Amino acid sequence: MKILTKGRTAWDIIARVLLYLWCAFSIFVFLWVINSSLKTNQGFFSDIWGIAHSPQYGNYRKIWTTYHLGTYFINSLLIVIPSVLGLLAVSAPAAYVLARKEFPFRKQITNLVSFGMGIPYQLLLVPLFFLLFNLRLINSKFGLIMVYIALSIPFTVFLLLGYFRTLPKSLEEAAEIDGCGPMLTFFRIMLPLTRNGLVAAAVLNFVGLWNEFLLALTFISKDSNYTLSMGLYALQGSLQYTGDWVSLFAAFTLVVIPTFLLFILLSRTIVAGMTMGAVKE
Amino acid sequence: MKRKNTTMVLLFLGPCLLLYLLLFLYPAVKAFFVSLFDWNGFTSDMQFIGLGNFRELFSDTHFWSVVMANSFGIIFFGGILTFGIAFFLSGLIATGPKGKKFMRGLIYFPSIINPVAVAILWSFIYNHQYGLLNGFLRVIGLGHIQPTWTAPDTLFWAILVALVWMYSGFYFVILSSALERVPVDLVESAKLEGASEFRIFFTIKIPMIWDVLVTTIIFWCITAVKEFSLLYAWGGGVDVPQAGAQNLATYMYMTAFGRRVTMYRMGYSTAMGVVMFLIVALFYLIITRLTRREEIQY
Repeated sequence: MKILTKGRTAWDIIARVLLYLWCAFSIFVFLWVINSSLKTNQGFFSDIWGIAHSPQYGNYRKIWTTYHLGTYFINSLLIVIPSVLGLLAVSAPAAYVLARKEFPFRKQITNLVSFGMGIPYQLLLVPLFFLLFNLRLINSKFGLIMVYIALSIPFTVFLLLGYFRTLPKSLEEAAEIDGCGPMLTFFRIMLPLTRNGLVAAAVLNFVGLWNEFLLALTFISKDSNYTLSMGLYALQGSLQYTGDWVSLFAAFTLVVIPTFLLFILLSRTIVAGMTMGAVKE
Repeated sequence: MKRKNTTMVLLFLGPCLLLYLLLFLYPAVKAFFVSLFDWNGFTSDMQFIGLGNFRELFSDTHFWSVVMANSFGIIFFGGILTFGIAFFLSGLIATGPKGKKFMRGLIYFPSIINPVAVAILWSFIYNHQYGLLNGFLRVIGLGHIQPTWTAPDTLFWAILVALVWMYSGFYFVILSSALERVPVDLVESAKLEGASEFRIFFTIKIPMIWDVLVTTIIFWCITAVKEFSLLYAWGGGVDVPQAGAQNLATYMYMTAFGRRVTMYRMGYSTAMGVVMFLIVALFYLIITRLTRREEIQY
């Protein structure tokens, strides 16, 4: 510690300042957007730095109802939450047997599933579109949910594998001696013990799917089914054209709030999950 | 007992594998087949043209000078900037400044913002008349400069800055928690022997986190190749991104499903998907090959 303080040079100070500047920039930008979202358009255009003295909460009401952001918001919830739950329901059991049971082709199946992480979605976009088209699942929330689940399986199984592998073998043996069947062992013992992994998988996938744009854009076309990303994209075009910027700022704020809240509540689990994914091969 | 085990494996693995095979691997494999056809998608009339799509793609000058140039620009320049900033900020955070936790969260946060929202935010930052950047220039008395940040020849770089701002937090979190696991005594003893920070970083820290670094570099390549949202959303609902915002991902999408000028060239578009896959595979091979050598050295 002593060495550190003694060796502090001008370069250290400059470096610190750069760190503070990077952070200050982000804070400033977010505050600026929130502040601007509470102004009138006139107020915003006359002085971009001015504080919103009489907050225009009406901007939020307008973007939510008149511009249908509320519908898109609910659509996103109706698509993302079932996707995450379904994803965990299929991935957790799969990751469990891949991590802890002996059976033929286990390694090959694990590799096959992990392989998906290296495939850019664009490769399968066209064939998948026509597959869904033939199944009459284009422009349906259910179809998009299925796609979201399937495409998130590689990462989720890979992440949960890491968590299941860390559990001691003796747990299963003890359960078996006590007469606990393999199913019961999984649901009553192993699954609760990987709670952190499940939460990390749920949060990381929620954030990823909440922000997903390409697949929604490809498989959804009716605007009553738009997700937030699509709605925001459509609004960006029309509001910039009409010059209603403050509403667009309000939309920005509303879209970012859910991920922000999750992040505040669960940042430790998120970080643990992220590093788990990167460190464990 | 044995039998029970088999039932359990089938039951537990079945739904997951079924979904993955049907909606992920099957279309992925089929893509290689589709890329060999001239097909507009909505008729059963698929014309086999062999490698014709690839030949057309590779002889298209727009494809090389704009699409590929931008994709590789994101991979290389975006990668250098993102990893450089991530390492730089990790090093600074590690010195334990006040409010470390808060700053760490703040640096990470842009990577979980909706990329469409990021596109909106940065187009306002760059906006010529009301944007933050030019506003700032006016405040510090450089108001006469007022550059057009998103002019056609600088658009790519303007977007790249936004992209790096968005992604560097993610890599910062992974790299800095890997760096924190490097044993303190190793670093301390090197310091006592008079090694510079610079030297410690390259000869001790980097080799110690090598496996994490390799994984994140591969992850970056995949992310960079398939980067779509920020670029496509940049134009603000115009559906045809300007040249600076076109990469493999957006060009591929436009060719198949673009809304304003729909081309419905499904085979041609899928050929680009195949190219994207091959780029990822190539980077994967190169990077893992390089690592293997490094491990022997170490």
